[in-house]
Amino acid sequence: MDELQLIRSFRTDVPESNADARHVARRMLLSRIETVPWARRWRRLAIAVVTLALAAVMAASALALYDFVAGEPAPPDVTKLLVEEGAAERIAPLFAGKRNVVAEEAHGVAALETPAGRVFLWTAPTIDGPICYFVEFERLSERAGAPRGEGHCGPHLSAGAPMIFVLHRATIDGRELAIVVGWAHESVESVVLRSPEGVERELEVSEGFFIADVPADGVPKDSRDGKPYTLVAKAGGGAELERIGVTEFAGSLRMHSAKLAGPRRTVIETTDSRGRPMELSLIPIEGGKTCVRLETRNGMSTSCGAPVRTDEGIQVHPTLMGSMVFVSGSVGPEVAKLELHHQDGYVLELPIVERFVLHDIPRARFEDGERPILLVARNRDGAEVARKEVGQTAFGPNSAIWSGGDVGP
Amino acid sequence: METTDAEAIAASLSEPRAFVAVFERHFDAIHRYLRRRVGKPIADELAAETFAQAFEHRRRYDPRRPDARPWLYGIAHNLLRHHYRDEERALRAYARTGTDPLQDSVEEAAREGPELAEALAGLSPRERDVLLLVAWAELEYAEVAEALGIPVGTVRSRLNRARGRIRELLERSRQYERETI
Repeated sequence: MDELQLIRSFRTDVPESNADARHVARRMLLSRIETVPWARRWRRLAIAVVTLALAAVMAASALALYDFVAGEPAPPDVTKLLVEEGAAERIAPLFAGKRNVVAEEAHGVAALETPAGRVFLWTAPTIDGPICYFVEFERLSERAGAPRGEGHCGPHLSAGAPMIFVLHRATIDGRELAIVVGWAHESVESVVLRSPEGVERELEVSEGFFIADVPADGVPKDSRDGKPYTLVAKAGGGAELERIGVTEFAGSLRMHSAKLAGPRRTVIETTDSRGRPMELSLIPIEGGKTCVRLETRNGMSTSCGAPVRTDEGIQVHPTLMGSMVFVSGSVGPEVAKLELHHQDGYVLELPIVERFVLHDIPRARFEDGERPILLVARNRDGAEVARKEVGQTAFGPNSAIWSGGDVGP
Repeated sequence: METTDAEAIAASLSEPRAFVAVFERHFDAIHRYLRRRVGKPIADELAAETFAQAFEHRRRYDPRRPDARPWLYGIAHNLLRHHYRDEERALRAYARTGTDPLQDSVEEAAREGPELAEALAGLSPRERDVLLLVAWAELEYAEVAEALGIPVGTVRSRLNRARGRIRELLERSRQYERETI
């Protein structure tokens, strides 16, 4: 018997009807019907009219920027796209393989109109797992015939750190976009985006998520680099719960509620398979910990919390970013050589710098039969000390890597 | 031909007594749902207040929705919010003693009753609301979303979480039982 059946069988002996309760309730209702004075009715009607008029004005201004599935009606085409089964199925594979994520229930949360087309925010429910979403750039998807964008999974929030955001950048038709995607703890009633000039707009919070676009050149690297936009989380009564500047550093470090404790240090500075810059750097944060930041042409990701370097063996994983797949991570101190084995027998030695690894997989190696499948670590004597299979999720048939060009020119 | 809820509510704007049809149609279901959650005394009060408030706010009813159940359950939940602690306390008492304090008789406590009570008490009120609106009120996901004023996606995710937690709590409880035996 499944959980729903069990719950249905719980307290079933409650009577279907209850004459006494019904009689009392009916009398109470009739007394309201008979005694509501017309003056009171008209006053309430007047208040309702004024409230509705105000709501209409507010909704009109909000809808100029945002179309949301939740709450007030969204334009039919947006609603249709975000709820239609086909669209959800199209997105579901992008969530597959994430811990405790119910990928088949992927669904749209919000849509944002930008000068470079619409941006959709998708999520999938989780069972006590991380919060996962995929931000999709419609125009890129249309051209590629498959979802194009970036996905992220992040932690559930607490009342102590009630808001997180991630900055997503893309260049579409020569226009640079900077999209702020965030989520908020349930204690947050509203989120306001304040411009450096002090102009505020309230962001719709849907399933805890919010999305907004900011000028691409209006996001400084950190607060010393310029005055940023600010996200303000507010409680029901309007009290400010948290305020975060929209900077590149904050966007990545807030994912881990971390505070910077020193300058960033670049460990690997290399190029991807198309010769574009790519780097791995370390950022010290409070508590004696360090975050690892990966920066590629297609975006940036930062991970904190877990030990920066593994104590032994191989902690190198494939990562999908836009249409790129790269392997990154660290190896144990005994590892002198790391080999990437492919399906067709090709073996590539990956450079190791301070025990870190960063390598972009060329598109020619995305095809079945030629993909990387195995990492083998060897010591100074050439003896194998560890091996690890390379996950194939990123290469799946619906993966964003199959969509052609990158997110950006 | 019987009028829809929407028609009855629309008619009640000029003829208030037309609203009684909505009461007659749905009172028993709403009352039973509330009684299963918080027991007879509180359910009597909340169910009566649900229809009184529905009548007061009937102008806000969306006439495009023929079935008023989601709207009524939404009002009932707004009232129920103040009794979440009572609900949780009763569930925990049931789990602890094996006797449901909400029941008039003690004879038919199901074998899994206390376990389920413990599991339900372990859910957040939001998860419990979604789960019980689906399981007891038999509302569709879209109707639950309408009742609670949340997106359908949130209904799905809360239901998933609730089911997962129920499963986990029941398994844990059975595991404990096995180990104890």
